[in-house]
Amino acid sequence: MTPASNLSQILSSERIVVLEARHKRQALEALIESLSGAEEVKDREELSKGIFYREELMSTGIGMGIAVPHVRLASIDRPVMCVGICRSPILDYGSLDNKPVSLIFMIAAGKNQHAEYLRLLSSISAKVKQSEVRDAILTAPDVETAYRILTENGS
Amino acid sequence: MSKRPIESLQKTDHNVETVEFDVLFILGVSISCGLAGAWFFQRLRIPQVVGYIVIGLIVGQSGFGLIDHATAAKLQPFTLFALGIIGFLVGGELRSESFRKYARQFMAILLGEGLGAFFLVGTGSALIMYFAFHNFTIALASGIVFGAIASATDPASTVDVLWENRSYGVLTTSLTAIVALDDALAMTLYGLGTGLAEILTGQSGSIGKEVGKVVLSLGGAVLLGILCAMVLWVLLRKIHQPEKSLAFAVGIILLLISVSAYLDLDVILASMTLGCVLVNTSPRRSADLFKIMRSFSIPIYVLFFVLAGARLGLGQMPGWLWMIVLLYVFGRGIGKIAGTWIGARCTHSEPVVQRYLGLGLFAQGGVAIGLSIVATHHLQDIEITPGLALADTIVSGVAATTLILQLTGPALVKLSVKLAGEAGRNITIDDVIDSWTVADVMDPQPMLIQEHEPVSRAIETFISNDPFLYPVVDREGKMAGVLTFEGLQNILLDQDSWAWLVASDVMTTAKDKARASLPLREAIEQMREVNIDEMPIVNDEDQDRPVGILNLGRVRKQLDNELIQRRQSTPVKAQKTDKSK
Repeated sequence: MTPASNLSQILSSERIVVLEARHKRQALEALIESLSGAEEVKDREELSKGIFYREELMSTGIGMGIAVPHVRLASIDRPVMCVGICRSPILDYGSLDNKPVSLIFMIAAGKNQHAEYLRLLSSISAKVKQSEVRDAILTAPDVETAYRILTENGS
Repeated sequence: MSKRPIESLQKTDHNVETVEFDVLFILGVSISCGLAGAWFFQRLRIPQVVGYIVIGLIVGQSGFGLIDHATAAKLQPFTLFALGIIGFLVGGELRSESFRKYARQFMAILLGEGLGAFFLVGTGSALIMYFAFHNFTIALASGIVFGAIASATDPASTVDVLWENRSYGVLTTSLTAIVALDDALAMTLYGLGTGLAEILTGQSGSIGKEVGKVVLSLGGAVLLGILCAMVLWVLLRKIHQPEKSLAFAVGIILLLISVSAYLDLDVILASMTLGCVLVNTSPRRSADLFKIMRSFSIPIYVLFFVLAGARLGLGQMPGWLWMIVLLYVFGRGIGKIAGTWIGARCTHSEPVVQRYLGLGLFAQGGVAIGLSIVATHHLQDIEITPGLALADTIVSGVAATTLILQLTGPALVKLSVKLAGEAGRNITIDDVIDSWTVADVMDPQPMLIQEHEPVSRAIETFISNDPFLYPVVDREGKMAGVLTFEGLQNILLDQDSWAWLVASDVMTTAKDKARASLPLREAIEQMREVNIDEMPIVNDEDQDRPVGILNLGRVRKQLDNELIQRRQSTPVKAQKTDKSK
C-alpha cells in the first residue's frame, strides 16, 4: 500500500464539511460527527475523548489559519481524515501564532500505525502551509473542488 | 564376598541379547548408583569422584563382582571414548595466555614433581624388592617401572574436583596445566624405564627403541590432535547451532580415539591437544561447544570412574607388596610435594603454588593403570621367583595404589584449592545474572518525558542525554508510552512539526516492559527475543508507573565489573546474596 500521505485513500468528498461553527468546541464536535460516519471509526465516544484529550495537552492549531486535531485509537485499523472549511474563522482555537483558524484537518489513525500517522501529519501540514493551496481550498466553490485540490496536489 | 557375574543370571542361548542386556544393565546401574554415591559423598563433603569410585569398587571385582573382567573388557571402547571426552575438556582448560605467562614455572614444577615422585618411589620400591628377593637387577627394574608410573597424575579426577569446587586462580591454572602435561612425562620416564628394565633383566630391549616408541606415540598423538582440531575449527565456522557442533565434535573425537588406538598413540594426549588447540584458535566459537560438551560429559564421567573402580581387583597380595604400596603412596606424595616446592621456588612462583600445588597432585588413575597393563607386555617373561611374574606384581601394586590415591587424591585436590582460597571463585557471567533481579542493574532514575511536552523539547532531551528510550508519562505519572529514537525518525526532517507535535503524538506503546523484581535472566531473554537494547521497568505494585530503564550495554558493563570483583573476593556462595553493584 502507498503511504497514507496519499490523501485520496483516507479522504472522501463527503468528509469535507463546511462549518458554520464559531467556536473551537462546536467545530471539533461537528468534525467528530462527520468522521464517526466513516466505516473506519468504530467508536464515536473514544474518538471524541481522544480528540479533546489531545487538545488539552496542547492546541492543534499549527498557525497560518490551520488546525490539525489528531488522535490514535485502538479501535481504528486504517487512517481516516475529514476536513472542515470554516465560513467564519474560529477565534478561540488557541493556535501557535494566535491567529484565527479557517481550515481544520481532523485525522484519526490506529494505535499501531505510528510511522504512517506521523508521515500523514507531516505531509498535510507541509501541503496546506503553501498559501496558494490554502487559498484555493478556502475559495473553492464546492466541496468537490476542495477535494480535488487536496488530493491532486503533491499527494 | 560372593562374586556372581551377571552372565550367570542370563540365558546363554541368546548370546547377542544377553550381551546387550549386560551392557545396558551395567551402564544403567553404574550411572544411577554412581550418582547416588556421589550425592552421598558430597553430603560428607567428600568429592563426588570418590563416590563414583566407591560404587565401582562395590559393584566390581573387589565387591559384588557384578562387573567382572569380561564385562569390563567389553566396555573398554567406552572407557576409551570417556578418556577422549575427558581429554578434550581438560585440553579446553589450557589457554595459551596461561602457558605464555607461566611456561617456565610449569616446566620447572612438572620436572620437580614428576622426577621427585619417580626417584622416591623408584628408590623405595627397589630397596624393598632388594631386601625381599636379594636380586639387584629385578629390584632396579621394578623400581624404575614403579617410579615412572608414580610420576603420572590423573587429570580426569583432578579436573573434576576443580570443576565441582568451581575453583579459579593461579593454583587452579597451574594444577590443570601440570596434570595435563605430566602424563607425557610419565610416558617418557616409563619408556626409558621399561627399556632399561628389559636390558637389565637380560631381555631383548633397547633404550633407543623404547624412547623412539614413546616419541612416536606422543608426537603422533599431538599431530593427530592438531589435525582434528583444524577440521573441527573449519566446521565450527560453518555451524552455528551448539547442538550440531556437539554432534560433529563427538564424531571427530570418536575418529581421533579410533585412529589413536589403531596407531598405538596416546589417546588422552591426542584429545587434550584437540581441546587445547581448539580453545586457543577459536576461543569464542568454541565456548558454547565446551559448555554443552561439559553437560554432555556428566554421565560419561560417572561411568568412567565407576568402571575404573570396578576394574580394581586387589586379590591376594603378599605382605612385601603391601609395603611397596604404602611406600609408593607416601613416597609419591612426598616426592610430588617436595618436587613441586623446589620447582615453584626456583621459578619464584606465587606462594600459594609453592605451598599447596603439590597437595593437588596426588590423584592417580587411568594412565597409571594403563602403563601397568602395558608393563605386562614388556615384562611378562621376567620372574621374581618361580611362578611370580614382575608384571603381575606391578599390575597388582599399581591397582592397590590407584585405589588408595583415587580415594584420597580428590579430597586433597579439594583441600589444596581451599587452602589457596580458590574454591568457589570460578564464577561465570551466568552466575551473576542468576543472582540479580532487574532492580539491581536498572537505571533507577530514568528521565521521564511528559506527554504534553513539545517534540522540540523531547528532541533536545535525546541530544543531551545517552538513552535512546524514555518513558512518556501522563499528569498522574503513569506511563502512557515510550519515546524512542526510532519512533522519532519519521519527523526528524520535518522540523516545523516539532513545535506543534507533542510527546504523546510521537510516542509508541510500551509493549515490552518488565517489573523491577523480575529475575534479570528473564528480562534479558525477553529483550533478546524482541531484539531491543533498552526497556522501561515498572513498579511491582503499580505496573503503570515507570521506575527505571534497563539498558543491555549498561547491564553488560555491570556484569563484567561484578564478575571481576567476585572472582577477586570471597567464594560464590557468600556472594549469591550480595546485590551490591
